[in-house]
Amino acid sequence: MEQQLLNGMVLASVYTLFALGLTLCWGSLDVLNLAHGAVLMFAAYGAHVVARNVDAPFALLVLVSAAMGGALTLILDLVAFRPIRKRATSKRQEELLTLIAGVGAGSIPLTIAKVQTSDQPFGLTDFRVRVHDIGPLRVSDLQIAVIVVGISLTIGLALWVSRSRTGRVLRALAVDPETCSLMGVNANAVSAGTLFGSGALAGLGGVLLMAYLSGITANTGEHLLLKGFAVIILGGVGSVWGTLVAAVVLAAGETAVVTWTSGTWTNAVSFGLILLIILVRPSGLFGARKAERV
Amino acid sequence: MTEWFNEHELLIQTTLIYIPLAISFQLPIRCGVFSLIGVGFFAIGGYGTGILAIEGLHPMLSLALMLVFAGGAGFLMSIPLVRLRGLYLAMATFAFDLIVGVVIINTRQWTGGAQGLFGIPHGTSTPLILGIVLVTVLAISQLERGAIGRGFEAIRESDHLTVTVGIDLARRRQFVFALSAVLGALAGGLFALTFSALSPGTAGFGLVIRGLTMAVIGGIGSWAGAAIGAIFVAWTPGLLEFAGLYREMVYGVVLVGVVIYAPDGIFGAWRSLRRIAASLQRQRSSDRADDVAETDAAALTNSGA
Repeated sequence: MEQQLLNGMVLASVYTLFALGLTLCWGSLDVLNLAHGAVLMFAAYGAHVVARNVDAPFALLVLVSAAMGGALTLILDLVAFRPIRKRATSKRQEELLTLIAGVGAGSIPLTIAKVQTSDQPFGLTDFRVRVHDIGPLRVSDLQIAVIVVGISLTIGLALWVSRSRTGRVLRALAVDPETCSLMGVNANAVSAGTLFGSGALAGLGGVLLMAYLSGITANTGEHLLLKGFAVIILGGVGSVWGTLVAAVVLAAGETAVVTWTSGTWTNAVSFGLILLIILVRPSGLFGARKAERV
Repeated sequence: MTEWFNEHELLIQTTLIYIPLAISFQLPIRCGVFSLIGVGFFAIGGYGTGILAIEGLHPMLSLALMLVFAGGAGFLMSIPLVRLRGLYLAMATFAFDLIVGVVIINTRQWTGGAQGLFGIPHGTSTPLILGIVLVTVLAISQLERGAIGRGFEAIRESDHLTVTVGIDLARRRQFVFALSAVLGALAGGLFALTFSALSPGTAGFGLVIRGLTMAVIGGIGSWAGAAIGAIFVAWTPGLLEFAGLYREMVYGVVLVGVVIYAPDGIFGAWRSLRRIAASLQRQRSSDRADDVAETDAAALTNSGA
């Protein structure tokens, strides 16, 4: 039982890292990046390739993965999302086109990885972790690392968004981009930074997940994407704390379902959560309440 | 010619079946209702038709029953859903679609679960599918034309203004939502009766993406866009055979290209081209008229001097 709890917490951490990037992009930049899952996977794949050719310490691999994730997302924005924002004639069209562009662009790293790995799982072959036996639990260093990283990054990001000047700028961009530019905000720089950060978080989550699961496949990103949606909608789009809480709730729910039922209903937890929360409280647990006239 | 038809009959049938599905995406999006519910009802309509047909009910009757069911269920669902905006409605309907898939997997005694539903009586033929789709398209195009169609355009432009002209916004939205459910169910039922087998994967994430692609690539403007989109989505994977394993990637690149450079879809791009050609024509004839006027004026001045 406690072991399940531990596993759930590790899962929650990975969900958090993945969803944080997603929620910041959607909340502040109004960009729903459907390629985010592919970014996570491909960044991890990059780390895998580096590990195969170079005897690199794990910390370096993490750095590589995060950098790749950030770079990929930036390129994606430059090549696909920004042109759409420039040419779209309405908000709705912009949203719709961004979705499709995300899917289309995401298929590029997806296919490359799929072909290069022959659709087989890829991971870190020489990865060894120390395992400790604490009471009834068997805890590995990696599990501790993932949980610590997840929580600390969430706290750090939450503080940064609420206290720092750039964090305030980000929140302001979410409310009214035009006034921001009037106030001298370099929207492009902030959005580039946010996109890089979101990709870096995804890359971080990806390499940790790959190490934890001893291997992921090219399609792992897609599965995570749906979970990511559930997390950000439950937590409230744009809220950092919400993401952490929601990730814990989702991971707990899924772990419970897997433990007590046959497991085929596991995905229904995330989908059901999305539907329920949107119907009952669209702003999520911690999201900003927006007054919308019906 | 007939040889080509026979060779590609499956693809032609798929394209035809995709058309109502594409319209089920396109029509609500045109009205600003970002509903992806067509895929969920593709599954419900398909499985429902299939199960009823297997139980012995006439295929067409099964289909008709599922259409009525879809209309009613769609309308009921629209009541709480339709007040949602933009991407939130898309998420909610997307979640619904995926839940339908999970339910199908877990109700093995009726749906065959993850293995799929087999042995559905083959209740259609290509001419029949063509006929049904043509009738559907005709109905939709009539809808597009009249006052209702203009009402839809109005809703998309501005909610508030629409209300001021006395159009019942909520009712229209619900209607469009229910219609998209019916169209999705039609496509699903036809699929079931044509290919005699269904699996939970048929109507999942992949089909949602395909449906969105059809709506965007073809162009949201009219049913013609849906048809173009259906043709594109059904035929392009085959055309990309040359790319071998990288097929998906080339497809993705094409998608991104169309989305950036033809944001109104292929149909929209064609309409813009026509407009440009027409204005060029007008420019040319007005230039000609200017030339004639100039020569006349010159002749007059010369004769004067």
